[in-house]
Amino acid sequence: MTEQRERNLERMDRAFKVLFIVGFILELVVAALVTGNTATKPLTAQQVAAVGIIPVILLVSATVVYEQFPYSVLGKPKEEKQKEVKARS
Amino acid sequence: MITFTAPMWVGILIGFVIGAAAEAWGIANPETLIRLAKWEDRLFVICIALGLAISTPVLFGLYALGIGFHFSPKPLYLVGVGLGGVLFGAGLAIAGYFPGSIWMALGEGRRDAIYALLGALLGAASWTALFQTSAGQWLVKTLNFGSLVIGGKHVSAFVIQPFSGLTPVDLFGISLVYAIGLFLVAYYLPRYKGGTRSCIRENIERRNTPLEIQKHLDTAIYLTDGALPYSQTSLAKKVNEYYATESNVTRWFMVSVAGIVGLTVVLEMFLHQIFGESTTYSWIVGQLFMPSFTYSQIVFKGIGWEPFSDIGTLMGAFFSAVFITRRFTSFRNIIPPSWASRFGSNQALRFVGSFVGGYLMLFGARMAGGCASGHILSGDMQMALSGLEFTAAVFAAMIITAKVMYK
Repeated sequence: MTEQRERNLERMDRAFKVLFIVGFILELVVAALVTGNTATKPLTAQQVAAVGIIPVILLVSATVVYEQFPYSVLGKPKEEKQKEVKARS
Repeated sequence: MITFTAPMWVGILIGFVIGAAAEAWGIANPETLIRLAKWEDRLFVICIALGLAISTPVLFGLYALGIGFHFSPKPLYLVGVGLGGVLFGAGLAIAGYFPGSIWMALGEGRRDAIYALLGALLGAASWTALFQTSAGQWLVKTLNFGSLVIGGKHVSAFVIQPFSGLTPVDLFGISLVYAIGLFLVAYYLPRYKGGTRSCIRENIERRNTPLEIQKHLDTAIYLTDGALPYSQTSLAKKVNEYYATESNVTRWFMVSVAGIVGLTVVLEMFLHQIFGESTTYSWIVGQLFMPSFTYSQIVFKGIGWEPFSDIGTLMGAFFSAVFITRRFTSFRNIIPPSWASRFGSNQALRFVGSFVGGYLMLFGARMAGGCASGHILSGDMQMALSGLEFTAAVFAAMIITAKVMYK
């Protein structure tokens, strides 16, 4: 990987992490708002959908971001790891 | 008696903690559960036994002191719970998933979890249809002894009535004996087939056999296959390859996760309810396709914060996979190695395996009235007889199925 590409991936990683934290806080806020902070009333489909859409959006975003990272094993890109194993043996 | 009921949204936080901890264990990866079914890697048994050994006396000790919990041991209907456990165990061995781990695997970006989810929803729908027939009623009514726990019976909200002559303090005493038994399992059961030490003994004795080191490496390889890159100094390196790092803090963290999960469930039972993950599947199919069925109506009335805690479980595993372990796999085509070595890397075949396994597993869970979370974790923590029957049936069926499937 070139240095420039590595820097871009790092930036995307950081940006997604921020998005995740914002999304998680938003999820809690939406859950509290749509349920009226109730403790006992059974949940409705609309309430769960309003909260459940957030992880779906985050998963789609994460997939778009992280599929650009190299396929890795033990934290190293697979080709690099294979070379290392071959060299060891 | 001191009692409290938390708002529904708190379920997201509870699910989050459990999802994050379980993802760090590796339970979101179907290979972990397939290896459990093959009785090659007993990490799940050791962690659950240790978690229960810590949390059960805490639960009954606090109850004896006058703290009220939202107890909910499942009823012991011998035929339905036993048969449900058998189907659940067979499905688990085939798919490598249980209801909660499907949510965790989605958070880890695992493609075959989508197939398992679809099968699980169909399994839930099948039980919803069967429940109102005479066969369904026979399964849940035959030999039904009610909500029994060791030494008592669940009689109303917050109350487990000890059998005559016993007190809540005696229940605490029973829970201590129960915990000692579980701790001995966690302490002496070797983690790996052919190994000699459990995770706890590895940490105390600070030794591994060459085979155990090889197995740890093999585990780390499949857990991180297709995952994200991480640096040599990262937290991910320590968590994924803790056997190879010198930090004893990291090693102990991996063992203490069991206690964190157990105590989180105790907290959940104080705040709102037991930890359960399969009811949500019945709730979803009821809401989407089968709203007028008798079983759906029962689920709608009785649903607690399960849909929220399931969302929290997904988010917790997602958080762990991105921030801690770096095991997010971006829905790449990754076939569990045990499956690949037996059936090859054909994506369509893995789809069938995940779907069918997910179907059997959820159909069994709903028949038995609970799953790995409701029966094995929360049920066994309450010393529920139904949970113990379910656990025995699941392990027997899971091991036999894996022996036939992966030989």
